[in-house]
Amino acid sequence: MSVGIRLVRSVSVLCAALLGGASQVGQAQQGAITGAVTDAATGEPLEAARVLLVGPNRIEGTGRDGQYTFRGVPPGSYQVRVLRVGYRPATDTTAVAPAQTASLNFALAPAPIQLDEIVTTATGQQSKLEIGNSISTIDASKVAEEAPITEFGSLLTGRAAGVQVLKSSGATGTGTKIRIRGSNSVSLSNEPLYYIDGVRMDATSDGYAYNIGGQSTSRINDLNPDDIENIEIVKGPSAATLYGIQAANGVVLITTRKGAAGRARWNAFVEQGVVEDPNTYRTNFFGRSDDPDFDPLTGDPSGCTLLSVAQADCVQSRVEAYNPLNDEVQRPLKGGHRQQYGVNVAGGSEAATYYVSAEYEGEVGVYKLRGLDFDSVNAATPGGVPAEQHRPNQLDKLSLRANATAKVAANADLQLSLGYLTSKLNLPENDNTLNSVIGSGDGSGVPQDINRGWFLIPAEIYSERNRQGIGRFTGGLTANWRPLGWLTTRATFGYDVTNRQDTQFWPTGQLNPFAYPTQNEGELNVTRAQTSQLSVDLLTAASYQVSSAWSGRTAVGGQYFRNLNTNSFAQGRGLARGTEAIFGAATTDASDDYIESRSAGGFVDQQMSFRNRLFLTAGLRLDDNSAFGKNFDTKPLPKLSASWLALDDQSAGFLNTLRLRAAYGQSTQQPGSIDAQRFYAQAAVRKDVTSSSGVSLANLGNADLKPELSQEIETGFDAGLFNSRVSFEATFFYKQTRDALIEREIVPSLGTTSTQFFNLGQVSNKGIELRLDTRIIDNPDFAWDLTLSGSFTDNNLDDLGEGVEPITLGFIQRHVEGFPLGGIWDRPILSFSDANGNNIIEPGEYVVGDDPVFRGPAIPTREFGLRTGLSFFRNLFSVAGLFDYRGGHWIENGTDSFRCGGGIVYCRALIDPTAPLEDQANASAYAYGDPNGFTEWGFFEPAWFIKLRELSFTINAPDHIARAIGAGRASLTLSGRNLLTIDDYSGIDPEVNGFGQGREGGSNFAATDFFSQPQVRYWVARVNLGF
Amino acid sequence: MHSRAFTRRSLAWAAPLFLAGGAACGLLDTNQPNIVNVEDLDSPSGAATKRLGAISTFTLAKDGDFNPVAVPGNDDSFNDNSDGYILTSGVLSDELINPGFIPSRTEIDLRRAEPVTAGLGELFQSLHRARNSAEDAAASLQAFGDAPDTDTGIPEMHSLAGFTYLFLAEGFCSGVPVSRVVNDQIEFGQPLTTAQLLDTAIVRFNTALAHLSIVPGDPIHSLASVGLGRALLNQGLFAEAAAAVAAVPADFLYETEHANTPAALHNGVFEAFNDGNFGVFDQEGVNGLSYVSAGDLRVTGDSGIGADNNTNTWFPNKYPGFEASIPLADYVEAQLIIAEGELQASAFGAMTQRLNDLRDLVGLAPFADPPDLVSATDLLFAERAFWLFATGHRLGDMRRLIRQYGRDPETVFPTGDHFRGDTYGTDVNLPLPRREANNPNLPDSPDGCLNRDA
Repeated sequence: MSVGIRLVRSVSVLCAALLGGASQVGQAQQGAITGAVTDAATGEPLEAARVLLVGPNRIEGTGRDGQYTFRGVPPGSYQVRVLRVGYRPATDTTAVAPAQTASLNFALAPAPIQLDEIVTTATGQQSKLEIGNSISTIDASKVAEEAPITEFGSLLTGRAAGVQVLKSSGATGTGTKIRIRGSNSVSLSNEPLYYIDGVRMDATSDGYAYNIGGQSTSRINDLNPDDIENIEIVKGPSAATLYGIQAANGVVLITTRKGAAGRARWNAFVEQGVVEDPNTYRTNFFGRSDDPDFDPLTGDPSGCTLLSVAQADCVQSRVEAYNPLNDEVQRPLKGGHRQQYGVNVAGGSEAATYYVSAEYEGEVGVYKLRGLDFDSVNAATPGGVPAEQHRPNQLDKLSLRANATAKVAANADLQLSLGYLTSKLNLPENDNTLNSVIGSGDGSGVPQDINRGWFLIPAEIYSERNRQGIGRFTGGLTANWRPLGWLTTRATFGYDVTNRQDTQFWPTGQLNPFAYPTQNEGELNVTRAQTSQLSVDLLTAASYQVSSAWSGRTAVGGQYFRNLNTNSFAQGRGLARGTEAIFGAATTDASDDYIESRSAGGFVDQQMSFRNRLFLTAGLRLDDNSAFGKNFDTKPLPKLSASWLALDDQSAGFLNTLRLRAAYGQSTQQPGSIDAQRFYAQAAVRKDVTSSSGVSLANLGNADLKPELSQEIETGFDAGLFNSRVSFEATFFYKQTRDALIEREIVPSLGTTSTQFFNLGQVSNKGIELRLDTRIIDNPDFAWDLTLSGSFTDNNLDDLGEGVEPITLGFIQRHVEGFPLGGIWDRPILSFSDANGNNIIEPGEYVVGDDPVFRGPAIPTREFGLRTGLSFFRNLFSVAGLFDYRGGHWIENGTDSFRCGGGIVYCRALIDPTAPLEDQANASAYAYGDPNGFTEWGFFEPAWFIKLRELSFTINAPDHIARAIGAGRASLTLSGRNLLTIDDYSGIDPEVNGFGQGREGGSNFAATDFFSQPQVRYWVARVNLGF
Repeated sequence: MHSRAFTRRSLAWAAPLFLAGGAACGLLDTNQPNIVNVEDLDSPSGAATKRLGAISTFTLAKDGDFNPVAVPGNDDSFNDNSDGYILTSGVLSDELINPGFIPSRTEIDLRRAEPVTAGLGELFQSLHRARNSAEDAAASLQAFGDAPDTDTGIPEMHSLAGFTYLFLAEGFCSGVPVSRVVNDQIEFGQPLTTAQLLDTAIVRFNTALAHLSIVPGDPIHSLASVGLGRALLNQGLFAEAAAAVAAVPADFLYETEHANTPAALHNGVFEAFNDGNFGVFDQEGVNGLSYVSAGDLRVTGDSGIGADNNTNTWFPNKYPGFEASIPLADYVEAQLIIAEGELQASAFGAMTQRLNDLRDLVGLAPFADPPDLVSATDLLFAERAFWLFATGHRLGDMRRLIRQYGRDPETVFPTGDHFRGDTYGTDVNLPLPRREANNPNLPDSPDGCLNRDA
């Protein structure tokens, strides 16, 4: 019996015993409190309001009908407080008589934000007021309904200060990097942890097995945004201490929708839309010459370049400019299609509630086989063009969710959260490769009369089939037991398992034999991988009154986590034409992998509050992990927090509320599961005409390896202004990561492995987060909201460790002490001049510095989101928009540098005599260099941008119209995404990364546009119906 | 009631502590079935497995390593993903060109490699990994083997280690260090001159030859003999070299072997030609040999276009498939070493006769005796080039032409305009890779070398 099963059984027995005991103490004399929460302006019921029973510290949520109920309330007088995002909190008092139900309704007035919003913490749900940290909350249920949310990552974009959503590509199904308050780690993942309904979930950001250019998938995008009620973002170690190992990068807490007592309420929606790539691609230039030695068709593939002209080797007869991507007849990019259909039902009784949903999402990306390519494949293929070749980028996703809550006793309940997803994604080879349509157009290097201007023709490129199939189950069971009025316990058992099948198939004889000599014989690669995460979380908390002024809360918690990744790979090469199977292939290959890590830890957390205005918290956490080196002894991690409500006067004219807060905490990031161990691994060998296996040293290991330790201090304030119509929040943070794992290069003369991990480095991030929420106009017939949130972050590598040279990532990015991680460096172009006056910058006419210098950071240092919403006629019609700004960072325009110096020259700066001299200098210094080599300096560009990320128009049907169509409510939303970009970038879109969202090492920081698919534009119409 | 509340309270507090204490109860023990712990190899079978691993790493270092195998539990490659010594030394010499897109291969082809040139570090590490593996395996077989005195695996490992020193000496500049892990600490090697590296190779071969398990005529004895002869040839000890290989029998052939499956066993040289990433130019850079136009049956191939979809080149078919073996040492090389001894003794007739005897084995027409030392030298080195084509010998031979025969480098190596539009540089060997600059013992020179002489 596995440890996991034994553990689950043990804890189940424990819980059964506890609950059994609980059922006997149900007290018939207990009563209930019930009521409705509505919008004071419109009278509409408010869903997802948090209702707090002060004293017992119990929290209930409202359903879509705005109803709430507290059962098992001992007789007495109670204060009930209602909180909801976007509304001013309300408090009222009621008395509960034995076996009676007290009624208490609330009408909430709109307000941009409130101080005592309920948030989820490691010690349970708490008022935001009690916490010394800044926590961002996103009302996902509302956003998903009214904004063009195409994936989970877009829910976060521009909505939380200090949270950067870095989308790698515009191709459908490709992934996203998330960075919260900068990058902490040089070598390990900088992605946050994710919990869904208390269950730790896999959020691998680089989730495709094969190299298909730069792109990959992210598992966070498996989440269905329509099932999410809200998202809370715990930003750093000062708040994440109690989440234990791996929480140093922050924690994203996702709560899915729940049912509420009342009749079954059905909701359905239909979404239809288009996906477009409206971009004009770069122009390829070719210097043609009457001298056949200098014509790209017959001689030098670079043709008659400006340098050749300057050297009097050739005379340009004409300059041709062409890119097949911009030729409407050839362009293999055409509007795609997006559709979504969803239905959910929520309801229940006082004893049990449920929420059940099903949703289908389908998206066809912008890639399409067209024109001559389509015709040629159609003619050559029995049965016509295969669908995958016709439209090589498609996503089909089916999400199912069932959540239930059952009150098993007056003082105990069970919450079940079950999610299942199945999806199928087709991805073309794309980004960071010539063997893609953008690479073959932008990177062709041939004029129109060679291969129609392509490097590889689209028919060949699209014949490669890359697929990912996902089956994912995420389930959690939470038991809450309140054995005594002041004592609460919680146990959550979670299991998240993802079965993934990645397939890469090259059909026999359909590829370019030069680009794919082996694959053109037919090749099929299949990887089947399973990632499972088992998490157990136990918590006990006691609330008590110490004196009339002081009250306390003590929490003790323990967590266990097991992560297991297994995969097996099989390959068949040399396939019979028309087959797609490994069995019977001319050659076959196989491999597998197994990665396991386990951690266990516990914490004690003590909070004291003074008159509910001053809150002081201290905590301590201790963890151990299977990945630590054998010489490492675990150490406790402390946390401290203070929050003081200095002012709370709703009647004041200017400043109504003021809260001051500060927090300090530590958290860690574990090394790779077996980085600490020295070990050998199997190596195939052929000897004496027999294949067998030997062993070879695979990892040098480091017995002293320990986790990276991040500590953070943050201070800030929250202010409510102008009768709470304006709220302003400011937070300063300083985060330092010590013992940063540095993958120190091992001298190759050692003959072992390339690198070895040491705890050597120190990284710091400091910054300011700001948020301004206003309700500028608050009138039932016209309301105007505006929210501005953003951050400034300064990342710095303080120390790389003694004797460690700056680490070079690829060619142009480096980790250098005193500079941001992964900064962009190269030798600078100091000056240039057209000394001989021929209007051509030649080698010798520019001066390049001897040593590389810092050009700029690779990750944005500034991000802001400006959201605004207008609603008219009691919200009958509303308009909302989101502008998204990122800046302070640079990007390598790798596409253009390749076109100028990739071996064949066809960029304007080196071909066209009318090209600006500065461009010529930049290109010449890269293509021809100087005696010290080449520099790409002129191809690094500021990557700032402002995007009109979202724009939506919503019409809420009047009740009588909704009823006329048999619905309780109805709305129509027309929304667009990525509608406008303002930037200084000479490429197409600075919001790309040709190296995807790699988890560790260099691709953690890569900032390259290299034949990357720009972000695509969406226009979507959505109809929501409620019954 | 009081006791029940107490019980409930106790249970509630105990539950979290249950997990917190779990670490001490084996909850954190993991099972990693795909790795082998170091101590588990201290046995006869473990040592034998290390020997096979050493043959594997040696094969990859020499023949190329294009199919990385993931490190268990890691995204990194288990192996070095190197072009291997045959291809890298071949592209610097006149044997091969790079008709693909990878600029670093062109830099080497251009004779302008720098420490940062991609692929150098991988090759350098791959060769050292092969060295380390062979030396480790030899020590393990000696320490843990059942009958070390009769185990031919031990001299075989010493010989393979010797060849890695040879490759480092023939391919890289003077100043190659050899570092080691001693008592868990890295001991950085001092830069060794080319002569010192060759001396170390000679020690390894002599250690192999002295092993009790082999006698002259045995395959491993012949392997060590040819290795010794090649090292002595590099040292300019021509007569000693000839003597070292005199007893190598006519049927001797030691190959590194390959297979179709798994991909890690592929013949990397074939794979490189098949993928269009390496090809051959006739008379590359003026001085190159006429590999194509000679029409010699020892170097045959087909015209084609390179992986860049643009460069017209010629792809050898010496290795017909992924499973083709590649010679490391054989009787032919032994005879060529003896012939060079005869050349050095000005016995041109004997040398020509020996070369003609070898040619006769494959039906090639005989040569007439060359009239002088220069033409005799040209003849011998051309014969070596064709016999030993794509086996990792040519770069060392071209360097010897400069070092031992006084040729001007610009009459030996490709020179003039390169087909990519640049002009050839002046390299006659490879610089040390940038990563080796972390070795504090390296001299303060731009390429980490003691010198770049041939």
